[in-house]
Amino acid sequence: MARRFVDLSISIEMDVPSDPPGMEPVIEYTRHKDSVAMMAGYFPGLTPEDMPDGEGWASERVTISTHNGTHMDAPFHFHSTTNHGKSRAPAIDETPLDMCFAPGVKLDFRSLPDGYVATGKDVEDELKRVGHRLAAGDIVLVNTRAGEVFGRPEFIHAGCGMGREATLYLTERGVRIVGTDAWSWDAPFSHTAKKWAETRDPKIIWEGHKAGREIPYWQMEKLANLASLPPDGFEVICFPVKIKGASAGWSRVVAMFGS
Amino acid sequence: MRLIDITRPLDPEDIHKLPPERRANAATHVPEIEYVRPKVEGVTAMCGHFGCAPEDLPGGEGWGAERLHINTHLGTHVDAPLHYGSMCEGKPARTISDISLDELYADGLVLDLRGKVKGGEGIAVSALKEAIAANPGKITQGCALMLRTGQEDHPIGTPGFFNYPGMTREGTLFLASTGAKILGTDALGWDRPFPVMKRAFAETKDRAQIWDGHFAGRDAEVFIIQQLHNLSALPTHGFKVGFFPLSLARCSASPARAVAFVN
Repeated sequence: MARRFVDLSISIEMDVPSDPPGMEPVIEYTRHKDSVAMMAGYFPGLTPEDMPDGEGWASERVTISTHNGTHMDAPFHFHSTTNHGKSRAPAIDETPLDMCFAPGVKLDFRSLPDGYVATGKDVEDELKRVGHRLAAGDIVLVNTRAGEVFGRPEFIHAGCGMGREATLYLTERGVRIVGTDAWSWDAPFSHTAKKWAETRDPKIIWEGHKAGREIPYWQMEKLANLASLPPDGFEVICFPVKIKGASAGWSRVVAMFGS
Repeated sequence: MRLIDITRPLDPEDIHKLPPERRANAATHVPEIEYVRPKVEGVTAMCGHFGCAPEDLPGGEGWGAERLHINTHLGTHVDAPLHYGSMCEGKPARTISDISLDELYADGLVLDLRGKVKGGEGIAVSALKEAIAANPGKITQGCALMLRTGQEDHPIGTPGFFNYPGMTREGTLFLASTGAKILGTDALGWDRPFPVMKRAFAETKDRAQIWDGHFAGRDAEVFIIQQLHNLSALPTHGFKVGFFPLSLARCSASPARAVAFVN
C-alpha cells in the first residue's frame, strides 16, 4: 500500500475558538514590508531599496501555553508523582520517542452525550465491536462529539470524557499514549463543575488525568480528523516538541497508512 | 526501525549560558517560559475552574502547565517559503500551514562538511560537491540534505555557537538544483552569522551580502531547517526523516520535533 498521511492536528490560530476565553494563543505577525526597519538594526544604513523587491523577512512572535493546540500531556501535568507515589512524574522532554510511533486504534464515542464519563465497559464494548485486540503500546484515540463542533464556542463543552476507570482500563493493559479530539481527556469542566456542585464528591474532579498518579501515561488533546480514520490499520506518529521540564509539548500528530 | 532524535532541546535555563549582550535577542534559541507549578499556580487555576477548594484536589495539587513567549523560528524549526519573501518562484509564497506532510517526510542524507568549512565564513559550493561525492547515498527528488558543519563541537554557551559556517546564495541554489527540497543545518542559522554579513555590507555596500542564503529561497522553493542536533548519531544515507512542524496558521516557520527513522 502506498504511504499516505492524515493530519490529526488542529491549526493554531487566533480567531477560531479552541480554548476557554483568556487561554487562547496570541500570534503577532511581522510581514515583509514591516521587517525592513528591524533588519536595519542588523545592517546599519539599510533602506528598503537595498532589499530584493523592498521586502525583508516574515516572522512571528507567539505567546502560547503548552496546552494550546494539539499537544501531548506528560504525567507531570497530572501530578508531581506517578506509580502510586513511588516515582517522580516525567516531564515532556523525558518522553521515550519509541512510544510515539505505534499502531493506532480509534474508539468511536461520538454518540455518547456531552459530559458523559465513559467507563471501562464502554471501552471494552467498543473494542469488541470493531474487532480490535488491544496490545501493549497501542495508541488509543477517542473520537467524541467535540470533533465535529471544533471551531465553535460550544467546542470546550462538547463530547464525552474518559474517567479514571476507562483510563485505567487502557493503562493496565499497557497502553501508554491516548488521545481525544475534545478539549480535555476528562469530561468538559462545565459539566463536571455542575456535578461537583451537586455531589461535592472530589473524586470526580479531573479523574481521568489524575489516573496518571497510579500508572504513568501520556495524553493528547484537541486532535482533529478522527472521524476520517478507520478503527485500526494505521500507525500514529506523535513526537512532542522537546521543552525542558514542561508538563506538555505541542505535537504535529499524524496517522500513517502504508509504510 | 530505530528512531533517532535530531531536535535541539529547548531549555529556558540556557539564557544564563549566553553572554549578557546576547540575552535580549535570544528568542530563536532560548524559550521564555512562565511555569504554572502543581502545588502553587496550578491549585489556584483549578479551584477557579471547578469552584472547589485546595483540599478537594488529590494531595492538594493542581495541574502543571506553562505559558511560553517564543519566536516561530525557535530551536529546531522548519522555515516556510514565506519567511524569505511574499513571492516564491513567481507565485505567492507558501506558509508553514500550506506545506503538506508528505513533503516533510523524506529520504535523508547527511553531508559531512567537517574540515571543509570555517566558522564565520560562507560554505563553498566545492565543499558541498565534495561532501555529496563522499556520500554513498543517492539524492532523490524532494529529499532532505542535512549539513553537518561541525557545530556539534560548539553547543550553546560556547563562543563558537554564534560563529558558525553559513550558506550563501550560490550554495543554496546549488543544493536546490540537485532536487533536494529540505535543506538543513546543525548551525544556529542558515546564512553566515549576522555580524559577518553586517561587516561585509558595511565594507562593500553590496546588498547581495544581506541574508543571501535565505533570499535565494525566493528563486528556488526550499524548506530550510536550522538548529539540527545529534547528526553524528545518523548514518550518512539510507533513512527517512520526518520534520512535522507545529501547525501554526499562516506562519513563516514553526518548531518541529525532527526524528530520523532508521532501518
